[in-house]
Amino acid sequence: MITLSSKKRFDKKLDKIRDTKISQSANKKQSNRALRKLLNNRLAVIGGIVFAIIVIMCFFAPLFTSYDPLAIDMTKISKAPSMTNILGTDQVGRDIFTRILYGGRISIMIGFGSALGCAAVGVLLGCYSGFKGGLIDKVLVRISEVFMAFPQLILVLMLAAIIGRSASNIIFIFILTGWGSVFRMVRSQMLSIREEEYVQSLKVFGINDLIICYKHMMPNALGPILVNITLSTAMFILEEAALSYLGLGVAPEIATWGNILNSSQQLHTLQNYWWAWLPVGITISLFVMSINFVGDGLRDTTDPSQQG
Amino acid sequence: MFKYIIKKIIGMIPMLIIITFLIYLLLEMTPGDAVSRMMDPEAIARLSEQELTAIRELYGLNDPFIIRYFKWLFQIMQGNFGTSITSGVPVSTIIGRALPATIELAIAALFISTFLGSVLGVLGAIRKGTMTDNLLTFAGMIGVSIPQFFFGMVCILIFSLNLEWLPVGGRTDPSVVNFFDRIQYLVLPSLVLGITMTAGVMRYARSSMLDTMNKEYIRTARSKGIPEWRVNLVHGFRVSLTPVIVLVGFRLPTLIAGSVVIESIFQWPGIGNTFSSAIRASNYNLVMMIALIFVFMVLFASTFVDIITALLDPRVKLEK
Repeated sequence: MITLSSKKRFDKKLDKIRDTKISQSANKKQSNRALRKLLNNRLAVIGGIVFAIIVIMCFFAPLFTSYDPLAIDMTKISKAPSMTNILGTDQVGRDIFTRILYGGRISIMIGFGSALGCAAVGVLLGCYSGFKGGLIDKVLVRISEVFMAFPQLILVLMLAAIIGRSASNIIFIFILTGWGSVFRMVRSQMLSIREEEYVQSLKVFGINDLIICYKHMMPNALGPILVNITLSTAMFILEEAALSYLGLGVAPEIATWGNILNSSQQLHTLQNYWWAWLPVGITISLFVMSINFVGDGLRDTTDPSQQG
Repeated sequence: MFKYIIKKIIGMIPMLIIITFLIYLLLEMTPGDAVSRMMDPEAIARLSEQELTAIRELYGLNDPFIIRYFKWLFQIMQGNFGTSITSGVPVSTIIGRALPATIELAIAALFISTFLGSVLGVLGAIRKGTMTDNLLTFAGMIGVSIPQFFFGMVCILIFSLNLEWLPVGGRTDPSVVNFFDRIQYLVLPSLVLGITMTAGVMRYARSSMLDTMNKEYIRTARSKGIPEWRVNLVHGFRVSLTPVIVLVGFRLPTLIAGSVVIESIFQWPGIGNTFSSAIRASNYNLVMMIALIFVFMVLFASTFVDIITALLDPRVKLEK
């Protein structure tokens, strides 16, 4: 009896396992094919891991370092890396490792915030413009052309000088100068979606234009935007760094990746205190590279025609 | 064809008006007024309050915004760009002095990036899917991810400070007389700027070459028994490079933005350096004028590219 019941129990368990396995594999089949394709792209996966490590370390900075990024310590000026300060200290004795982590928070926020903002503005305007056409479309296209005629960095430098250099202003400026490309992308998508039959039939039903535009059409135009957000995050991080390096970005006492580099412009620092600039530069490069790899992987999976 | 060109050029006019208007708007938002922009600051300091008011009245600074804008535009069209508020030197003189340096750097960087980019891109396309191709793609990715100024700093450290092969910065020294003596100053900035621009060109050249290699006439050439290198170089390379060359115009914005950064790392006395130091000194008139020149350059270049493309490819006209 005992053996029989235990056998039954065993069978039940086995069935259960088999069931879950079957349902899992069914799930897997249905689950996002793009995701699996992305996970097969080795560079994209490595990029994703590096990205995650840097983001986590920056946003949980207090767990990784006990220093204050702004605390000046005149007893240890420009000290080489040691056990107490693993990446050394800068000209006023601030711990550089700490500054990189805290600086990353602001740099990443500026980059990511601006990219999201650009996408939001570009998608909202692009959808409507592409859907409606007419005067609104013409005006918006012209405006985006004007913004795109300026080399972006030039416009950013000018605006930053005029309206001030706080982090939120920088994000605002990046959005103002960067929405054009998303706008054009979405608009051209909408132009082709507009001709599809379901849109025609929705129109015939007399459904509100805004609902057709944003509820029914917009999701179909969003494909390339995700890729664009990742790639432009990378671009904005580089731009913020360039801006701060030129001494025209966020106020110099706030730690951002660009500002840390800015403070080691002098040849003396460049030659003698490598730890003051090399690790930050490498961090920026690694971070931007990881985003680019993820972005490229995303593009390859979502849009195979782009694959070289 | 002629009609198309005229149409393109006329199409630029509203753009130019909007852009000059925008720049004037920005200029008005900055501190200081037109008197301080048009005149030597020392001369202003010598004037009394009443005289200043009289001058403001004379220049029509109390006019409505639109009228002031058109007056300003008129001045610009006559070539009067105003003076630099920090030195009192006319803006046109400052720009004239800095322009040759920037053009020199730009041409060198364009040459380097076009050459490296197309050769490497084509190499990647010919060896598609091999180790070489993957390495090149990877290198290109690194190229677009490293901040230009960081790359510049590393190069200065290695080649100027440690190896002492090349000067740290600047464009010339007093003892130098001709171009070949100061070419050593040009090497590092133009290489850094050129190499950072190479990645984009490489990507483009690669996909363009791949595109060409799938064409039927390439298959025909192969089937005729022409050696592989000849197919690649003569039939593929030549055709696929035309768009790459034409795209020089599209690289102009990158080039300008790059020159601002590179020129300030290497203390290159060009427009980009003038621009960033003018911003730092709140010398807004100079800033706006340089921005105006940059925008004009980009606009003209893109119009020029449109025209060239139309000349090379008759299909473009039909679409318009």
